[in-house]
Amino acid sequence: MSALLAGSIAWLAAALPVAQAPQVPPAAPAPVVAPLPAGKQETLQALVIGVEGRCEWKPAGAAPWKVAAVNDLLDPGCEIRTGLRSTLTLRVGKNATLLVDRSSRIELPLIVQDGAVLRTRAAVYRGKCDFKVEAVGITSDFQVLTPSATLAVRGTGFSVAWGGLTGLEVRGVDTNRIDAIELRWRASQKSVFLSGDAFATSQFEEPWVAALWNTVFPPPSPDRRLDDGIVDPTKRPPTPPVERDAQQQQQTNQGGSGFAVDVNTGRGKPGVPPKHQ
Amino acid sequence: MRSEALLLALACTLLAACATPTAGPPLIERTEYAHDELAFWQALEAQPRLSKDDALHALFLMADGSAAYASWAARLSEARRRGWIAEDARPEADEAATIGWVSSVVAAFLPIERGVTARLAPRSERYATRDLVFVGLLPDRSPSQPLRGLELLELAGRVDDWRAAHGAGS
Repeated sequence: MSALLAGSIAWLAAALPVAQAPQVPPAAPAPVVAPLPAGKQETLQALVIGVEGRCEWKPAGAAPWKVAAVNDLLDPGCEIRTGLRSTLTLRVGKNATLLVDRSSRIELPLIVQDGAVLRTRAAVYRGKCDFKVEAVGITSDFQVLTPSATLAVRGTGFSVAWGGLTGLEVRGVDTNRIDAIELRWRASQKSVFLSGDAFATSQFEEPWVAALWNTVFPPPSPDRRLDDGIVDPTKRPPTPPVERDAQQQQQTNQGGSGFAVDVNTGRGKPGVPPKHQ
Repeated sequence: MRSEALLLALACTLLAACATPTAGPPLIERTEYAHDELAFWQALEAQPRLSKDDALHALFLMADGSAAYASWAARLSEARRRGWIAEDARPEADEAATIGWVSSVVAAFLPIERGVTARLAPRSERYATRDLVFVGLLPDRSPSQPLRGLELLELAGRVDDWRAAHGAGS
């Protein structure tokens, strides 16, 4: 009995993979903004990177409101308002991302780099906003103005809500939500190059992925029989070349030896469909 | 003579106190707000008292995401059809909306879990207010308090958050 137990333990030890040191990807380098020469000032802008629902903005002054769209550039002094079930996300200046949540109205009176200081002011008149401010190597002077308080953000973030019922409410920022919007915007900005017969669709933006999907079908399932859904090819209407090629590819796969493995025994003959119970 | 004048002044004060408070002409009667949701919300910010017509328009926006009813009569008729307002109630368009009146409508369209008393009297403004306070949509308020435009805006945002937290189908 003890020999059996020892044998089992030895077999288990041999079967278990050797513990490896966890592979941690190298940390991305922290973004750094170069300071301007002393006394020099540069006016920055805000870029719309995400829009959901009804969002509008207008430049400083009495201009009419415009419907917000991704990649709109907003100058300092602009005003933003959102409706119910709507959010607008902005990249503000060089180190901040601002998510204007539902039923909000805000203003960005100041976005400027002043020498080695990034100065930003955001006025929240009503609603809810998430601020994510990054540490970029130079001083960040980011202030949020509400009707009842002025708040400062230094290299971190928070969520500010201001309303008529409860006044000011401050919470931690939903960083994951903002990161996801930033990533989606970055992914939407990539270029896709096409040549010859290559094509891209909204489902498969990369031509090679689209081509792969249209030439190599998903692998056949062991649960599928060869006569399941097979239609006599002589009775089918003519198909476009891409689809015809795909069908030929599928037929080749089905005739291959990999498909003929019996799911129960693990053995089989090439070209012979597996047995099913 | 002096006591008669005093009695007259007292009677006038009582009559004025018992009258239903009004909120002035509703914003929604103006074309620029009737067709522009965001302009309507922004105009509400400055309303010291919310009219029932504006409140009902805002409540349709909160419930459906749109409000295509052309007049107070159409809004009132639709609210009665949905059971938001009792058939025998006769509210006026420019009447000031109260916390309780708005709460009873919100409690009618939002699937919040209500208490036993609220189920027995579903249109009770008192219990609707208490239910909204209980689920965190309102701070502790009295149902008879008039509602400001800014307060309704915050309530609309909180209802939006509640829907997002409890599923889109709610």
